[in-house]
Amino acid sequence: MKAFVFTTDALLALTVALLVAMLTIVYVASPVIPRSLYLHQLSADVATVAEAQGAVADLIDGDDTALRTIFRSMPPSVCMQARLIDDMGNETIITEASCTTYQRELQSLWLPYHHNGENYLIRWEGWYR
Amino acid sequence: MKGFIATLVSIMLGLLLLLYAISIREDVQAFEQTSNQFNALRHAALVFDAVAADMDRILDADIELHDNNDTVSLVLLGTLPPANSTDTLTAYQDFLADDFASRAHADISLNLSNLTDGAAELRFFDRYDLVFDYENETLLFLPGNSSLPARYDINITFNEVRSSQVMDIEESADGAGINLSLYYLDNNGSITWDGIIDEETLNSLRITFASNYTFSLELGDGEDGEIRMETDAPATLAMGVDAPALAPPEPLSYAYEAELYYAQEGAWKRSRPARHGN
Repeated sequence: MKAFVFTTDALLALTVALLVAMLTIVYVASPVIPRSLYLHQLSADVATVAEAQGAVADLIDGDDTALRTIFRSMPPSVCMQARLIDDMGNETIITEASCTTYQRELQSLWLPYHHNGENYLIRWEGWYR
Repeated sequence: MKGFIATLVSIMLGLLLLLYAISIREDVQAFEQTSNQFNALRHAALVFDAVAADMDRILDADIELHDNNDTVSLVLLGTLPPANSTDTLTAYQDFLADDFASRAHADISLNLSNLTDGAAELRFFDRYDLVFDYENETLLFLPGNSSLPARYDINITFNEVRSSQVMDIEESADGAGINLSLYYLDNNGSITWDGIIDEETLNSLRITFASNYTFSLELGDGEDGEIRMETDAPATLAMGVDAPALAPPEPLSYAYEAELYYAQEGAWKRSRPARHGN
């Protein structure tokens, strides 16, 4: 009858193996969505603040100081970029200093903007360094 | 026998792990879908705010809303006569439906029929109407049948030479009514009036300028407490309205009498573009 079903060390090994397998599944399957949601929320907040503070109007008028100040207030792990497109298709891109290329989990949203009789498109982008 | 049981247990554990993995994957997929719809809804809310702000700029309506516990107030800074913004509004409507919708991968439409039919209307706190009647060069404030405003502050400035004036504003006989503070200024100087007017009685100020432009301010003609300002001369206007607090309390807002529809990623929203106060 000795070791008829399992020995104690086999049970221990099985328990450890089971735990490792479960942890692996949880880790592999765990969503990255909360980070994306956070990033999307940040992009939306930046868009709201920039509109409220007149930073978008300033950008259209050629002054990006206010927008860059808002970008600098972002968490260090996050990069922000604004892409402004006028009705002729000309683009103005302002990227937070030290953020050069897209890294991970890009989130973006488009918003309309009317200024001095002209319509503009603005794309707010955020990504993790 | 030992090997058989060990194999059986291993297979069962493997199946358990597989079911567990499938269950987590389904949860993640459901969460991703919810998350995308959540983002789309958030985006919709932002688009509605952006469109309302754009309409402020198109109609040159600089409006502030304040809540002071027992009163709510709105402040309008703008110009008279109301401008006809139909062309700009229509161009903006096309811009949203074409350029913006294409970039945002969204379905968007803006119904402007109530803003381009000769007058542009805004509704405050869902009880007062402000009408930019550009066809008749008139600005109207309509309190409706809801709670009457407590105070009007009207400050209007013309860069014109006055040739005649008729002011017929009387203090309310019983001391009840709307508190009025009027400050009128042109190149000849100022006209002021402070006191309480009867909201059911017509009070007026009529000016004729040397340029043959005219200005008329009427209070209480039409519905109770109505403000009517008509002029063909350019003017700058600052108008404040204080009213009893909203009951039950709710966030202050004003909405354009337009209808905006926005749909993206299975989420959609249809309502009037609205702006919110402090």
